[in-house]
Amino acid sequence: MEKIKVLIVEDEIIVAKHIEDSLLSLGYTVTGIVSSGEDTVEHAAEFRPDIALMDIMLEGEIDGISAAEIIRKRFNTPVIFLTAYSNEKTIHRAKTAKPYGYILKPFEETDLFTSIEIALHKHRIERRLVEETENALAAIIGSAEVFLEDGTSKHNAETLRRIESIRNAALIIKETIEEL
Amino acid sequence: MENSVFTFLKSFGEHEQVCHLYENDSECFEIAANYFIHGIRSGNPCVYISDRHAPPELLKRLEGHGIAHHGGTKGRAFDELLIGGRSKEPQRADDIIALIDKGLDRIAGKGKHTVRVLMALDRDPFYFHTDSERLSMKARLNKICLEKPVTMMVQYNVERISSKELLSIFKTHPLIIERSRVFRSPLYTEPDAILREGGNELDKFNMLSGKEKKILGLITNGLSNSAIAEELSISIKTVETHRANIMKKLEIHNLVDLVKFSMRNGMA
Repeated sequence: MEKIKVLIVEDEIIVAKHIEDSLLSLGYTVTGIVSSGEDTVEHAAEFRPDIALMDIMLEGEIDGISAAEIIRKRFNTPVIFLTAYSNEKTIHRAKTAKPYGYILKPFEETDLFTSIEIALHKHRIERRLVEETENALAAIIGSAEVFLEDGTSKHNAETLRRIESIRNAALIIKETIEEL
Repeated sequence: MENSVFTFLKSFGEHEQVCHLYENDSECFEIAANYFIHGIRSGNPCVYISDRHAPPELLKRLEGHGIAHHGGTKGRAFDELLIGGRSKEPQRADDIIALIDKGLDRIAGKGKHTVRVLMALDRDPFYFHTDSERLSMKARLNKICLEKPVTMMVQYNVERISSKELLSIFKTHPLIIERSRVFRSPLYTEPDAILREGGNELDKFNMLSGKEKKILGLITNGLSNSAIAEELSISIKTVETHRANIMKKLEIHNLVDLVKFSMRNGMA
């Protein structure tokens, strides 16, 4: 099996090197170490890491939370925050980026391992959920809309009312899944 | 029946086209008979295009004015051109258009006058086609009328047509007769504009390869990419690539619209 590719986003080089050593000894590969939000986006675009370990406080204009949001939306890269900050405000803000984990410094090697494995597992399940259902939901919603657009000229009103309920229920599922 | 409709039918000129939406047969025959009577009185050859022979009720009305089938009363006759037939399988729309076109050429060659065409169809000959095809076929009929020395009246029983068909009728007929009233269709669109647009959708669909059409059919049935991959013995990545290419070719950006396009074009 191919090794998991991890991106490290950390502006303190000593900490970054320490994380890299830990990852390598755990059997992961490291696609690179970057220290700003801008570099994170560029690096993710080029190397497509499987996961990113991200410090929240970074150099440059874009902080870790914004960078995490960008690479999740653009490249579907899951992110684990790795930070010394544990105040409520930061955690609350971090949540908006929908991270797959939050590790507080200082940390043990085993914390890294379990967090990465759980995050990847969660990410895979979510992707699978999307992939397995998106065509089916589109088929339900699309067919229902064709019925509804044909309207009462071809179908009776009661049938259409029920089809509308099916369509609306499918839309709720679709929106819920898309929010993931 | 108001006088205005009869006056209208009398003055009906070359290249004009009207659609009569009737509610009952007697209304249908009344208008049809008047259309023929005015035509033949002004010396215009008349042709009855239908999927069945002219019904006795219509013939009876015409007989009172000395008009009969082709070969009937001297100098006062109308031609019949039968398309398909009730017992026959539905024909391809192209064949129907070609037949009408050919028949018109034959009749139009007979005299200098404008041919009055009456199209009375028990069943929409394009019923089995997709909405976009049906619309383009009607637009092609409209085009024939604009290009050849004919006037045309098409009759539809308003209770037998769906709102979709009604929409295509309003788009392809500049004038509508309904409940003794003549009015201009607010939706009338030049046939060339419709053909350009309708052609585009069919062209797009035909741009898809056989395999892409197959995959589109499976997506429309709700199969996931992995299930499609298994069904066709190809990799998921290949299915994903095909799906992306299909959407690019059709210029569709989401899956729901893809399914709708596919259903409207008869894929499921």
